[in-house]
Amino acid sequence: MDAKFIVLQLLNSISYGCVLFMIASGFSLIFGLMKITNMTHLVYFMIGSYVSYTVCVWSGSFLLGMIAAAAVTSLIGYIVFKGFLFRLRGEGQSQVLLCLGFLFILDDALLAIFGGYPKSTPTPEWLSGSIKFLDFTFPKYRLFLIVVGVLIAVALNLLINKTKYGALIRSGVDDAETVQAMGININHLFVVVYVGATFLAAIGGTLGGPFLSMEPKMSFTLLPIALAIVIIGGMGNLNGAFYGSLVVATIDNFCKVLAPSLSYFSIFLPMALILVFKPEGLFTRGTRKVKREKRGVLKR
Amino acid sequence: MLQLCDIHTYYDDSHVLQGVSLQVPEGKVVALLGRNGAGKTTTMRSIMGLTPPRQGKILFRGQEIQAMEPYRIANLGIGYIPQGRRLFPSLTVREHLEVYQKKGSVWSVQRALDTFPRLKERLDNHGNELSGGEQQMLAIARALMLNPVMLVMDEPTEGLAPLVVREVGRLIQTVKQEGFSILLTEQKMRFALDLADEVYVMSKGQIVFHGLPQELLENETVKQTYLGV
Ligand SMILES: Nc1ncnc2c1ncn2[C@@H]1O[C@H](COP(=O)(O)OP(=O)(O)O)[C@@H](O)[C@H]1O
Ligand SMILES: [Mg+2]
Repeated sequence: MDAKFIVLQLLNSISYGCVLFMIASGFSLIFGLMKITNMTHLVYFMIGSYVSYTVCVWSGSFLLGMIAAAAVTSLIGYIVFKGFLFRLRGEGQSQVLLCLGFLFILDDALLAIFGGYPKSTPTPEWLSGSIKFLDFTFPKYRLFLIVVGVLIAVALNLLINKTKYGALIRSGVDDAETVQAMGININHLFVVVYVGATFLAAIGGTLGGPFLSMEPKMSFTLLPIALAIVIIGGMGNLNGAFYGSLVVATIDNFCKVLAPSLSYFSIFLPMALILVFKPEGLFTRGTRKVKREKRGVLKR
Repeated sequence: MLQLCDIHTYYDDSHVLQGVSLQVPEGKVVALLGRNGAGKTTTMRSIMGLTPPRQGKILFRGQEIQAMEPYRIANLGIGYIPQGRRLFPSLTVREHLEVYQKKGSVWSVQRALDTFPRLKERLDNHGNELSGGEQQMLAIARALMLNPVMLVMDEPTEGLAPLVVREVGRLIQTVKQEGFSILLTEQKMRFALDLADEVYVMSKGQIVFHGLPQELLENETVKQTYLGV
């Protein structure tokens, strides 16, 4: 194992992490705001990547593929949310089952439509090939992923942390009930965040298309990874999702190369430790937690 | 202004409010006293639509609100100051005010800061980085941004040091002089009686006393049985 190998794998990890972030950010925000473990999120990513693949192959335009993916996936997300999840507000267990059900149904639909052979979106021409720098050769597309991923992360960060609407979302993550009692129709906020997160997953799916070979059931491979990220990063914590994505991508990537048989273990060991010792996530400031009024406890 | 008519509220199967009726006249401060677990918070939550009553009516300025969603109730003009303040740890003081300001509200951030000058130095602090008194100011200011005509305050002095309790008392006086109708729950009887025009006492989800502050002070049985003083 030489320095060159490490640098290349690190860059690979970062680009993979950028794609994971586009899943994990929305997954985490949805959980933080609505307390829904939106397992359907992973299949949104896959739908995004299959739709963009299809449109890209058909039209020859990567951008058109991305637009189609975002539109189709957001629409599906909207229907799933407004038509189903929303009606089960406040019924956590039913919502989890519903999400799981949609994960199976939609994933099977992908299998039925696209068949079982692994597919990769053709890399756009101007991004194919590699860049040589000093001693390294690095695929252009991976560098592109890093640039776009970081840009999206920065934009999302500004949106959530610097705008009024972002502050509203953060307050909803803190305490959705109080938000409503202060005159805000939180249902609007829920729809916007759910569909926005779906949109982001589809963009992630599109960008991942040329370098992940997509196949049905990949939603299920990605699910534990997404869970690990939000647990490591802290539920509902956007910056945490970013660092969590990078950490998990790096561990996953290096283990796949160095010790493939350990790859799940290597992610779930840290996750289990964090659940036990710092359940609010590594990247959540502990002091930020509110002490919630303990209902149903009587002091006598 | 606000009228509760025989409301019954449940948490799942547990029947907590068992026929509560009370009234808050316009411009008056009404105190709702009772021990821990008496049902004060549940009454407040019923008014705000957070745990809507299964039976009975709640009228706000003549309009039935018992089946409305919380945000609609708030927008009709009820400012809610929840027990324990429930400020947002991820928001700064400034964000608490800006985000929750209603369009067309007579309360601008500037006016809120002029009313509670101590918040001025804390604009960039987060909700959980304030002292108890400052937290209470912010909770009141946040509720005011919605431009309410009535305030519903749930144990505003809970967990505050005696000096701060007096300060909060002055805050409420200030707000009262602005003409707000106020429903206030308390466990600290003296504190509430100094502010209130009328008092209700509740126990086990029922109203057991209604009268003037002076009448409660003179009623040893009610004080001993229901308030433990
Ligand atoms: N979320 C809840 N679930 C079940 N019971 C609750 C809940 N919150 C409060 N209670 C019960 O309702 C009763 C009234 O509580 P509460 O309204 O909080 O009283 P208070 O505000 O006067 O202290 C208590 O017996 C309490 O145990
Ligand atoms: Mg209470």
